[in-house]
Amino acid sequence: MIRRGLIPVLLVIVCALLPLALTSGFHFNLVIMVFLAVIYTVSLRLVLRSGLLSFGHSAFIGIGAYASVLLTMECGLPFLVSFLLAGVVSAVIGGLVFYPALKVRGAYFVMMTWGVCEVFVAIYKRFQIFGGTQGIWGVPAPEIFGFEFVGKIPYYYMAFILMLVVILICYRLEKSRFGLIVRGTATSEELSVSVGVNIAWYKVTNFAIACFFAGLGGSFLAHYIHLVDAETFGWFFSERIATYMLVGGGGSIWGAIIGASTLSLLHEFWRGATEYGMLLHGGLLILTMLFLPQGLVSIPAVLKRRGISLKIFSSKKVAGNGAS
Amino acid sequence: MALLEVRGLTKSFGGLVAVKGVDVAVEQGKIVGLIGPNGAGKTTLFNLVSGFLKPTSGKIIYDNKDIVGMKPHDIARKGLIRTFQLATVFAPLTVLQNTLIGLHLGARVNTVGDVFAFPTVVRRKSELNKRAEEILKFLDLLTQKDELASNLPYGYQKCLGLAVALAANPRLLMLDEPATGLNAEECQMMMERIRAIRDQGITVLLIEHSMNFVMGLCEWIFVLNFGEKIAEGSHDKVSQDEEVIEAYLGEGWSLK
Repeated sequence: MIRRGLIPVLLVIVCALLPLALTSGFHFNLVIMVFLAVIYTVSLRLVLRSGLLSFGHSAFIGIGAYASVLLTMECGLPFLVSFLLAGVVSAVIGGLVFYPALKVRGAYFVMMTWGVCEVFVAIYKRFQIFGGTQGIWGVPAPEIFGFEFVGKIPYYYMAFILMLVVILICYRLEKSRFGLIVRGTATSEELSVSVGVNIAWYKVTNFAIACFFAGLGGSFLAHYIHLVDAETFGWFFSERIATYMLVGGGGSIWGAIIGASTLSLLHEFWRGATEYGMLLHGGLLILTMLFLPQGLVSIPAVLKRRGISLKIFSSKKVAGNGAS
Repeated sequence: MALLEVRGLTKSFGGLVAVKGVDVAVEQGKIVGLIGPNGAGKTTLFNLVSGFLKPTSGKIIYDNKDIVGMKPHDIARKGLIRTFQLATVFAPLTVLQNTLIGLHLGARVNTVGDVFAFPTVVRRKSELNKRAEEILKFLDLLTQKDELASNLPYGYQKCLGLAVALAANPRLLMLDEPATGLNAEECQMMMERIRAIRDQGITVLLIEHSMNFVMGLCEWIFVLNFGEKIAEGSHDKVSQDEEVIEAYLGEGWSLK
């Protein structure tokens, strides 16, 4: 029997100690990519909470990546400064792009985000400052207060800490008054307006916060793989993140974490299967939507409804927490 | 002095004129009724005053200022709060959360402090919880505070709509059919509550089809028909008006 509140603590301990068990660079890389996927997915879920599904999240990861690379390589700023500025640049551009998008709803919004994503890819390819179609190679390793990143371990811990911070802030944001108002605007715009909520401000700010975290993730990615390439930030990357979220379950932060970690691992494993990989990916999405519309995270609840109870959680804590 | 004064208000949708040169004045501290047959333009008038629709012409003076063209959330900020005809609530949220959103304008919670749980913000939020619970207690919803709004029966949802509006600290409360869907007993309680709200100094303008409700509660009544104001006055005067009887109340009408 495991107390529910202990699960996150155990997970953190496992992740913190995992480098002791990881031997090859391949395995390190795998876990770092999972951490990044969680960062992207948890930040995308902020957008979903405001009632909008974005298929353009990779654009803001890309903006963070390019901003950070240009700030370190062209302006000579230290890594930590350009890392944080990358988040800010991504948030500002995100807010500016998103403001007019408030005019469109539902499927039209999804299509617009998709378009935005491709526009940014086209911009990177067109202008030499972004390295054109070649991208920018030789992005330097991060250096924080004189500590240079050598080998996989510093990257591992930076990605891990970044992931924890993003999850914790998103979780607290969800519980905050700001999160409540955002949830309200997603539920009923007219009622929110009638009690004085400035919907545009809340939705734009919320979107900008999501872009900030995406930008931080992008910055880390660029300095980790030492290159930025326009094509990688195309819509299929966004679609992947959205799938992580939907398969895991957009209703809770756990859903985003579970979806991102399981699917990004699966992606690595069927990478060799090329076209069949896409088939599996699409099949998994459709199966989830048919049989688990609330995502993988709802499996215990679904089993419970069918009379099968999982004995790993102590019932006392579950009763107190309700659906959380 | 009138808290709200609508002068020559007109709204047309293409060729259809929904509201035609209507003049309405709502005195401070009164309960004022707006009646008329379906399609008379009552809800359209509410939508115009609360800024959800832009008038074709005319003036809306609230608290000595013309509010035409202001955004709805800015109008709400001035203390002009409206409810909706259908039970409009934040369905997937709890009753308490609904009311907390209603407290938005007076909330003053710093989001950064909220995320990092600063003690001052934690204290402020528990004050807000207390305020929301007071409002729910006033409307007899406190026992349901952790219930999801979508699980409430219709009458309670309407009541919750009122709770959300009250939380927004109105000076002028505009209620769109507050008694619809309530049984006789609930109706009686709603009347008492609206009187209690007025006694707190909140001016009330309401739309309602239940004549017992309107006649028993309102100190001044406006009658709309086909977008035009056909009568106004105390309930005695309005209920004896030939035109009102013909358009709305019907021959042989009497207050039960």
